[in-house]
Amino acid sequence: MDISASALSAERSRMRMIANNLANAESYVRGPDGSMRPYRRKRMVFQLGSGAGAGEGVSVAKVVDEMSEFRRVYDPDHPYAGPDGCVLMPNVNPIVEMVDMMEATRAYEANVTAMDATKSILAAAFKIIA
Amino acid sequence: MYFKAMFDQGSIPVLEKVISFCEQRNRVIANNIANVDTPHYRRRDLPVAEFRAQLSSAIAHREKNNPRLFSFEPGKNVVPNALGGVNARQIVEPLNRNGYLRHDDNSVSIDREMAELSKNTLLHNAMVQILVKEFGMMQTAISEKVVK
Amino acid sequence: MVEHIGMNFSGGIKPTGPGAGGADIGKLPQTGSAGKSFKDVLMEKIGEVNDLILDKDNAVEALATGKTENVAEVLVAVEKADQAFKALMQIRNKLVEAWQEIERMQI
Repeated sequence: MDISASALSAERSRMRMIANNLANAESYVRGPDGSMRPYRRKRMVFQLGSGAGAGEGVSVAKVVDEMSEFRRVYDPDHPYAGPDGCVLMPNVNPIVEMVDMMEATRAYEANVTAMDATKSILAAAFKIIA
Repeated sequence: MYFKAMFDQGSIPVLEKVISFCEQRNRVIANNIANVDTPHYRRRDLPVAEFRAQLSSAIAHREKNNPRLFSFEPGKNVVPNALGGVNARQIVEPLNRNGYLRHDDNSVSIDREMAELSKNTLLHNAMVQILVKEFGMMQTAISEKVVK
Repeated sequence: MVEHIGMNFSGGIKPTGPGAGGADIGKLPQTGSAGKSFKDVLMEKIGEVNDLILDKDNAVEALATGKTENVAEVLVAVEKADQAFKALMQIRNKLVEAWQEIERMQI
């Protein structure tokens, strides 16, 4: 059951990250060099093995920035517009994020089912005694 | 030795083995489902066919050495027959290319895992029910009381 | 008394009058007659129950080794064996009771 629990928390983290991506689809953040740059879409990488067991369960290995190109939007009135009138917008595609969210949800629900199955097995085992 | 032999007869050892196998397999399948989004993960399994083959041969072995059919004649002893031969089950990491592979190099098909999970749970629960009945029959014999 | 215990394997134990359907286990032994003795009838019935129990064992093995996928069939076999055994146990109890009653009789 710990296995399923680790998967549930991993998928939940992923959903939170996706929500964060969506929320920042139009944001600018202050980079390490002090200048303003568009928000970069984040991705999560899972790995086998959680804290408890070595070869079982799943956990988050790392969160990486997706290094694809920023979108160029023509908007001369934007405060951050460049000399050509284009603004760099974050590389977040809402459609992609929604699909990812659906996938994460599906994985989450599948793990809930797995946990239910484990619970059912344990409950059945108790019937042997009582 | 008689008390141990009491539980080694008939279907109780068979049930025990299957129940234990199903419980372990549940763990492995849950692990597969947990890692449905892990890149480079290959699905694992406890091969059912192998377990069944081992169980069959253990049963046949028992049948050969201690015939189960004890004829009911007064004076003849009941011959106990244990299900010897531990049905060793190992976690296999098979099926490198069984046809299902995703773009992130993950071979877990969530639909297949759910189906296997259901089947496994069903078998386990059925076996537990039967085991309960077995012990119930034994209880009837021991206590000489016929209760529901 | 003993002759009133009729045995109907499909319906459980219920008292039957003499000549009713079903196996009449409790007929008083006609010693010396051509009919089966009580002991033979009893052994026969025990053999029947034993067969049911063996059927159950085979069914469970078949399910465990994958020879059948029909779980319901196996559960039915288990239930049958269980009920038959309980019925037999009940018969045995009644016989013991009857015997004790006979013992208590003051002659």
